[in-house]
Amino acid sequence: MSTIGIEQLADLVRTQGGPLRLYALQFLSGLETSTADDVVQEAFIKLARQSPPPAEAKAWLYQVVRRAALSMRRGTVRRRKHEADAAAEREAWFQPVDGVRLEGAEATAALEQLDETLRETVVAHLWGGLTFEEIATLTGTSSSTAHRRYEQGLRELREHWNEPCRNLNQIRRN
Amino acid sequence: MSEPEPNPPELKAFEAMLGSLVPAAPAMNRDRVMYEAGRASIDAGGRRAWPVATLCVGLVALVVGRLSGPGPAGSPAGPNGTDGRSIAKDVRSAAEPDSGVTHPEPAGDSWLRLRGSMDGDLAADRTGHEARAPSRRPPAATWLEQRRLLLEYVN
Repeated sequence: MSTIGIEQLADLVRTQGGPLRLYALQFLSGLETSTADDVVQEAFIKLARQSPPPAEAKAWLYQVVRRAALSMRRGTVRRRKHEADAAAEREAWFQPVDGVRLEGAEATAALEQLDETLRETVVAHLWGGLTFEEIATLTGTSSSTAHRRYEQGLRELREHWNEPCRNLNQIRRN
Repeated sequence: MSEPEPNPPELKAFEAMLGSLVPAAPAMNRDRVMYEAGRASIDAGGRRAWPVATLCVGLVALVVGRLSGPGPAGSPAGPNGTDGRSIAKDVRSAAEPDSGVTHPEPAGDSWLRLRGSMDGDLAADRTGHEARAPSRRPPAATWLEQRRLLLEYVN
């Protein structure tokens, strides 16, 4: 039996590390961001040990991260709620890029206002690059439902866009 | 299956703006991930290969040992189920009825050696060495009979 190739794994780590972390973070909102890092790392290690490797490694990774993040959230929320600075946590969701009109913190704040099912779909499709078919399998719905959620998520994000900006500016002033 | 796209153009523009954001990379130990991948690939390949290789080498060693090592305690059985060693003994005693020379009992794979020595004796006879050891020649009838027995066995 074989395992996943080193090159393919390195490529997945490079291209999917960030999106997977974001996908885990949107389940683990309010907890330490290092929890999401751990979840993603464990998913990659699990993939490395998988023999035979999954046919769709990317979709498989999202499934593993989803399961682990939800399980982690159930366990961690019971133990303690993280009291970190909200603004600092939000900025950690995206990496700052020069010349980009949107700030990561504002995008994160807007994402946090979304319903979890909508947010999950938006993150998985927009940043993770999963197809609606793959998202449907991941979330146990149909692809048309996944597509509808995506559109609805984008609309709600746009509607809420100014509100998180106002809140953030207030946080910064304080 | 074709992927449906968000229809409203204003949503597409907003989607493009959002998509320009790059999610922060996880603070994970990439070396550990790669190490685990390497270790897993070795485990996956070697877990079954080693026992199979060991078994194959063991079988080869067994066969080679069987072919090249000494045979069983008795020499190969004779044509009628008689023991080869007893035939050899009979042949030798018949060939040297009163020479008084004792030969050591052939051991293990001695059947071939016995054949070789018998051939050597015959060659010596042909080259005239019988003058020096006339007593080694057996009586004609016995000699021929034993030779026939030997040839029968060999063939």
